[in-house]
Amino acid sequence: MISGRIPVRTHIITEEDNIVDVVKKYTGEIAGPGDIIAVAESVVSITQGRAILPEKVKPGLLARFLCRFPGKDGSLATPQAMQLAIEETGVPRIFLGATAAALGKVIRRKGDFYRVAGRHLTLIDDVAGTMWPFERHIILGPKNPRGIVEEIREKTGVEAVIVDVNDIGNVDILGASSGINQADLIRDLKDNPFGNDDQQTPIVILKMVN
Amino acid sequence: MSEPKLPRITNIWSKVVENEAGSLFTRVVVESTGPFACHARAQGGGLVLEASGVVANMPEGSMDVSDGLVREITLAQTCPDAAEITIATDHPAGYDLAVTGGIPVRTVVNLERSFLHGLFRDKKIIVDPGHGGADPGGRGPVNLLEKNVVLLIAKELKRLLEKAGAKPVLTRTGDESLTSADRVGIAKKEKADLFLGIHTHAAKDCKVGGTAVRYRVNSPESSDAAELIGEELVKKLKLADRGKKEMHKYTGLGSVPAVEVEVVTITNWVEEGLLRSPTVHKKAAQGIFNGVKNYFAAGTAQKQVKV
Repeated sequence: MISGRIPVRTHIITEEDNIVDVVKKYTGEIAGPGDIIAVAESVVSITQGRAILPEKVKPGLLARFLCRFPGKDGSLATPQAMQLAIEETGVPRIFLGATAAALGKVIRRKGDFYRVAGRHLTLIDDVAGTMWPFERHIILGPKNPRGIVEEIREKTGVEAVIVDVNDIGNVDILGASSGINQADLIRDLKDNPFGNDDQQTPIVILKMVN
Repeated sequence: MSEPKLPRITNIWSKVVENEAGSLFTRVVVESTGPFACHARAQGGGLVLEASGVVANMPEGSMDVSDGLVREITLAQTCPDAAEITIATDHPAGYDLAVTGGIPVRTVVNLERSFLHGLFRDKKIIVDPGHGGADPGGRGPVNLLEKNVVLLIAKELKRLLEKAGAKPVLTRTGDESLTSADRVGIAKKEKADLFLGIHTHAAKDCKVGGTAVRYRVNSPESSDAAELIGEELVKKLKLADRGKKEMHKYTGLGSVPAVEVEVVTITNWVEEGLLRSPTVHKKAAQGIFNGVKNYFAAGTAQKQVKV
């Protein structure tokens, strides 16, 4: 059971940082065995160079065509974001996803695009999806989250998890080191202790009752 | 035996809160892994918290707040086991200090915002969301319409002004068509102190972006208000500053100062995306609010000089 949650403010993390070093630096004196270090997925992506300025993306014809179909308030409604989705998952899978979505529309079922084209595409955040100075960037999902949490555990001796939490209570665990009870974790992170997208607290330490 | 670890400051944040009596405060919260000794003293235009027996776990330096009262908060580790937290304010403010236990421990400073109430008291401010009804205004490259997004920002601004004690009036609360004469008519009927049009810019070139303000021609007061609002809005949104221009509109307003704010450029791909975020609406409203506050504060200061 947790005894408290400590949001940890960091410097502005960029692709010059190594996420494992950042976590060790800011949690080394606070987290101990039995605790859990939760890291927001967007900063992991940023350190991996996966925050991309839309003006640097050259959308092809397919991206320009397909971006007309998703919900306009979703993340793939711009040609630039759709182009990045195509590059992430490949043209054949995007085609299959788009076909599934078209068929799904006939029977009024939602979510078929991502079921077929790949869940990892749901992690793409379009502009304004994350905190300054990255609010002008499209942020892709992190690579190798499971490897990173194991590396954090090795370096800190503390269990770690990479999560995508939003303000409407959705908790998506992208990677969790082996000693973590994921059901408890979802409950403990549901109210988004990382704060809103304007706060500089991308790490939260869940302190456990000794 | 090893020395016991000193508590560490893990986060500092602030927000505007309301107490049961309806009074507003800026609450500054210092979170730490354990309790530490803390003494508050007034210094210049603000407050310094002297903390001893504590180490900064978070980066030292300044955090911009710009909430109308608190300008910024600065953390400095002054010696290995002591730190100073400086809360810089734009106006004088009474305060209280309390500590709550738990994990994390919270050292809480509440700063009174009554000075702002004095500045805004009974000020009639017309907040005019541009366009509406059959006139959509600018269009974003994906699907957003100026008339809809400016209404969201205008409502947020009205909320902030009301909380500060002003008497804001929205020219429209839904998707209604209004002529320029209708808008001027509302301002005259309400005997407005200030007219604020909320707009977005539209450009043929989708690479053009940024924030701008426009002021009624031949009205130095409008120009002053536009200057102050533009400055604060750019600071809050951190977008390109497209500057201040005059406009040949609202001449029927008589002596009422009139400003139009072009919050962002809706035809820019990225800035249309920003308009989808409620956080951006709030920041835009807060930036405009701060500028209006500075305008009234400057007016009050001038009156005092004249007296």
